[in-house]
Amino acid sequence: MAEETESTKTEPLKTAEEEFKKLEITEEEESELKLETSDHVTFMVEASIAMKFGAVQQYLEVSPAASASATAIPLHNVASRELILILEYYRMHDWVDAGERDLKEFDERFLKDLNYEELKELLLAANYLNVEKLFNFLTKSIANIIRNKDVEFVRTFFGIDNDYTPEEEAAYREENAWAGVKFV
Amino acid sequence: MKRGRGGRVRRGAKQKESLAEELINEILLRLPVKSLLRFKSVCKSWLSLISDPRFAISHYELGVASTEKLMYLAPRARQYLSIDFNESLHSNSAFAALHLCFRPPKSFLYEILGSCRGFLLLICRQSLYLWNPCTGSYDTSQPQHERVARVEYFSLRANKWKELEPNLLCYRQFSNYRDNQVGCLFNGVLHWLAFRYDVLINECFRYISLPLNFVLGNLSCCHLRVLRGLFSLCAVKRGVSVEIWLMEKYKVQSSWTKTIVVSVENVPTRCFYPICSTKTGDLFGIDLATGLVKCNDKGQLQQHRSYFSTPTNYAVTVYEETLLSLPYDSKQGS
Repeated sequence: MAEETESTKTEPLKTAEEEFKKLEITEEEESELKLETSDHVTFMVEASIAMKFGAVQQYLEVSPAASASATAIPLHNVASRELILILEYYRMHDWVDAGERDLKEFDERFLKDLNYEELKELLLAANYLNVEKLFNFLTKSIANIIRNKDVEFVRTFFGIDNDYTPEEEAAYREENAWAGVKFV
Repeated sequence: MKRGRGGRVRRGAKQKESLAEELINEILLRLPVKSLLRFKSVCKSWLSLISDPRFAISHYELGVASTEKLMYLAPRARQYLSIDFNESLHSNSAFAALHLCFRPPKSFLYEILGSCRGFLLLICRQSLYLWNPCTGSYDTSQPQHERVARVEYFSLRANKWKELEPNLLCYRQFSNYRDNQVGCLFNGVLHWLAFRYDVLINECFRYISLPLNFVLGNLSCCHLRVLRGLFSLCAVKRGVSVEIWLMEKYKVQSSWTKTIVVSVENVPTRCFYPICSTKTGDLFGIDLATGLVKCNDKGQLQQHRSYFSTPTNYAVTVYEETLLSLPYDSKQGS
């Protein structure tokens, strides 16, 4: 680096400066909304993304003043941890340059980083926020996790108590053997 | 099921570990029928949810987890197999033995006339049976004793048997081979191969042209199929080859393309009638004796499996797995 001539040193500096100016302009144009999570953390979120949240739209319909003022829009059932993930998801999926393969890779990584509890929490948050794309992605992902699993796994996964008596369960399985259903 | 705005599920302390029923419902709608039948035994509320006819309709209409199986009925051998043709033929999880939940009067010779929305239409001694192998739901029509040329069909929307006006049937069918008497459903339209080439649209007939210079007379038989999502023609020269023609653009005669030529010399019975194609584009069909055959897109034999020790009468069709039951009431969905 030290051996580089004067001209090559200044060149990238100039372009970086221009880039920075461009960024400033776009940032000025992009309006933001203030969102407050259930654990009282406030986020400044690009309006283009925040307006994808059904809960935000609904809030603004009732109190339109919130879009301009400094009042934060409260998200009662979303913790900051989940909002960060939701924003990460939407920023990626909103990014114009993201190709189909990038998105697929991103989705896979996004899912891999979540444990089952976090996945369910995120689904609840997505449901509350009313964000269709993420909601569909999460329900489909959970369906994929359980589709080939046995009944016991599913009970544990959802925290469901088995309310069949052992006799009822055996009778049910017997009754349905005709359809070629394999239970385990 | 379109998700409306508002009316979100509130999160209580208990729901931290178990999700609300609305969310469970949304997840279950995205599971294939096979999983849903198994998960009926998770708990009683799941049983009633999955058994609900409204759930069945939403699940069918959402269609994100729709699966297709091959029904392989060998009535003399009392074998009714449901085969997952997307799996390897040699995998034992790829087929399940079913039991018929209804018995025709005497004979056990069923034939399959077609399938729609998960229901198979079977015929046995002039009685028609409509049967969903996933739910066991079935219905039957009165035996027809008069031997008149007639077209009768069951309207799932109207929930009753209907008959077409006889004067619509003015064309003679091609060959006596029984397979050609079964219409091929594509684009919501039934197709038959005939001396005039007819299709049934809204209870009236139109016709589609075969490939230019296509000579039916040189063939042992010819079938209409849906392969790789396209309307197709399988031209069989028995013991020699099967030519697969795909209609790349529906109803455009010039778009017929000879896509695959399957040489049958490696098939033990030297017979191959294509029935459907797998997700990867392989051809799947019957060997006309005891088993099933899979070929790749170059027409080479990939797998062959015999299911019966001796050749037996059998009937095959592809059906979509659904939880729908009769009577089908479309109003229940809305």
